[in-house]
Amino acid sequence: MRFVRAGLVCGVVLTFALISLLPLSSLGAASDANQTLVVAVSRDMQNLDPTNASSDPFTLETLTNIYAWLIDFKLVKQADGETIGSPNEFVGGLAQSFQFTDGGRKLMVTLRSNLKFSDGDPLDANAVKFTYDRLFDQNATTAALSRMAKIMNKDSVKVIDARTVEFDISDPNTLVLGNMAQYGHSILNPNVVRPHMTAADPYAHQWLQSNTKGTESGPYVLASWQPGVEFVFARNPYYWGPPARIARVVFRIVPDPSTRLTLLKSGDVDIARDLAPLDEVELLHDASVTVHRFPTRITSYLGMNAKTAPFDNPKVRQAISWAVPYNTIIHNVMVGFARQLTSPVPAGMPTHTDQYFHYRTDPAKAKQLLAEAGYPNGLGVTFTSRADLAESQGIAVWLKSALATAGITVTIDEMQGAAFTAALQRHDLAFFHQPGWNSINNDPFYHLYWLLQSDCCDYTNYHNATVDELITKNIISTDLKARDAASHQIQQIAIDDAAWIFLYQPDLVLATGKNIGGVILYPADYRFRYYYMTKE
Amino acid sequence: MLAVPVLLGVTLITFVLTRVLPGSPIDAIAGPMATPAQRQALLVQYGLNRPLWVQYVAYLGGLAHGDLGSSFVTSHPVASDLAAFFPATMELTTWAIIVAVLVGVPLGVWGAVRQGSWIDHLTRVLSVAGVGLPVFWVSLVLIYLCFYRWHLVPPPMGRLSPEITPPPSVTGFLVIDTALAGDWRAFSDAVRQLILPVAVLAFAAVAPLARMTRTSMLDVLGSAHTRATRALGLPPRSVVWTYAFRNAILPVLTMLAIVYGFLLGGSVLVETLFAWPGMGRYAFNAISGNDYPAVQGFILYATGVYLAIFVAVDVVSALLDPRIET
Repeated sequence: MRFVRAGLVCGVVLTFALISLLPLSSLGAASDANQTLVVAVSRDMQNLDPTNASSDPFTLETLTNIYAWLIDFKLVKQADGETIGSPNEFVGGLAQSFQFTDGGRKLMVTLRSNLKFSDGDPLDANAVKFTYDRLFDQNATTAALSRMAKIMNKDSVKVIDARTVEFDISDPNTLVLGNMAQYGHSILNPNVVRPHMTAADPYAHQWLQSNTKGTESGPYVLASWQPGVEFVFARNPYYWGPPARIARVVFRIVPDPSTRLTLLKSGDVDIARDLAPLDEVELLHDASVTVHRFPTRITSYLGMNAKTAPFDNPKVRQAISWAVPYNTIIHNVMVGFARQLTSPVPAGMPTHTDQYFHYRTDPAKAKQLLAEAGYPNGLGVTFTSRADLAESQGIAVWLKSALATAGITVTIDEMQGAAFTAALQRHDLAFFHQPGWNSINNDPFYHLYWLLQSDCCDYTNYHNATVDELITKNIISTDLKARDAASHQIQQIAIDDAAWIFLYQPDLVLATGKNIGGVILYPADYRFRYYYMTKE
Repeated sequence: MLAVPVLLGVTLITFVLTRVLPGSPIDAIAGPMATPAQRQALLVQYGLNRPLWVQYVAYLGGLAHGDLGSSFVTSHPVASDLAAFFPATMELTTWAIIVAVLVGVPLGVWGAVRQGSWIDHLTRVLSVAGVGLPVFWVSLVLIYLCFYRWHLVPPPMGRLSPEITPPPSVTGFLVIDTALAGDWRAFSDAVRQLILPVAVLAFAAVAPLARMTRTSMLDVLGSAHTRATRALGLPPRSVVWTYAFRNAILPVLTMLAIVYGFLLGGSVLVETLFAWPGMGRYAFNAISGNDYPAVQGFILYATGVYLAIFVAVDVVSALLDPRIET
């Protein structure tokens, strides 16, 4: 027993000795600390092929920081003094200039001189041609978006000379620039990518999924990527524009939100992404942290499947629209980091109007509409919420109690993310929460096409012949006046018909250390550009 | 030799179960804007349009060549992914088990020898706490106190702090690799990053080990042969350690194997809270993304780990107890 005791004592003493012997706090050399930005992110990147990327946020943000494309969003100073990357105005990115000719049937793009890829190879019209040939051959998402803007195939992209490329547009429209100003149009280095094109993988998709070396054209290069651990940006020495202010950006994967919060508060990371909303509210009072809050035009709504009873009856949809606790959801679930959505076309998008929105929380009115719909004694519905999203679960709870006062019994059905997405894609969900849709092109008809055109994607199966016709007629059109009138008409129909329950537009929140500057919002894609950021 | 049918059975069960899960990996790959034609093309590309049994045979064929397939999500080969994530879990778990044994077994022995003493009560309280307190709560409290308040340990950001360059990989154990490389700054960082997660896992593992040791020791100490050794006037130290402990160790060894195997499967919570890039998180991500090859690869790995540990325990038991015949 003496031995046991002695062993225990020895163990304890040894452990403490070991800990105390270790040199305390050996954090990085102070000299380069201001040249490195450390960001705690919630998850890893997945698939970096620009034309067929995975849709997770950090993959797309990385693509936006390491690649460049021809047309980009223009930086404009707003009335409040904030600079943003305007979603409605475009400048040349890799292009020095661009102009529509032939009545909008041609887009002539002139490249900047002496452009280079990150390995020093020249970036010229041939690289542009290579990029678009591959994109149309591969025929994935970006090809579909190009065709949507009536750039139909590889023959539509012509090399005029080493610095000039012509894009043929089969039908003049307003979508072209918005659809081109994104990561899918990243210009790739043929010298680097072509050797990876094989018979089994003709588009080098496999290689581009996890590699970017030598083909980057943006302000940063992807210096390293350890899956599950971190990925690191370094300055691209061959970038044409002003060099990134901060030399290195380290993205550490820290899956737990409370750990990310602790790291931000202790100053061990400069930026913590995806914090819990309540923590963000609390950080508003933390002197060492800046909470950037940006309104968005991300659309969050409740979908009701218009092909299944009882939601096939517009009166039922209207009744629910009168029973939903809008303010409670914004203040309790979204802790105030959201504003009321008042139309299928969100505030911040051209042609938006809130003049048709008349719903508020009025159980009596809901009951009356239910009676008119043939449910004088109320009815029962099942609501599907996402088990992996806190706001979705919160909404389910408040919805259940509010709808009960109008005589509607809600059964909550929880689904995991993957299963939810699958059911959503099959248009199988009867009553569900769409947490956020963002149209990267700030064009009302682009937006309405994806959400309300019944032969496209319209997850709610809402069908209205007039709406369909107006979208089809105006999506490819340059008649802004007609588009404006049509958009208003669609908004009125969709609101009166209660196509959705219009919930909110969430704010985009970014919590950074006090010493971090240069946070610029791009309201088109809501991805942060780290190359503007500064660290004092 | 039972290993082969066990492994085959496991591949079949996981293969069927992953396919039965709601949702499809195509949803994660294709994104919300994909057209039905693109989704169909992806199904063909990943071979998911073939009949299930054809897919299963193709999978087994790959396995026979040591090919676990490639992740649908990242397109990395699953085998290399497992190899990348395994060392993190292996190192964390091994240190935790060593600490748990060093603490749990002596506590159990002591508790049995001095039944009813304060150390016996302490052991019981520790065991109840180790089993009863949720791992995530203990982790959060330790992070708050040891890191945020007292700055005793570096920020919980994984195996090494961001500014430390990892050493060349030799064993996969960063503590050993950094020492081999002679990089003492990295060594100290690796050790200090390990302290909290090892403490949390060891805390949970101490309970079953201490209780099993105590029960087993009590059995043996109360047995006739121990009474005989006492009656013969052998010194207490030799009664406890030479005669009783050696006889009591077998069930403890089995418990150790179960706990070790369980921890090697990866503790999702601890790995998540400490940003530890280990197997638990890998498996969690694979399951939530319906990444069939990754899930299958992980379960095969976990089965292999259990089999290997139980084989090792059988061998050690045979060495300790000559009555067991192999």
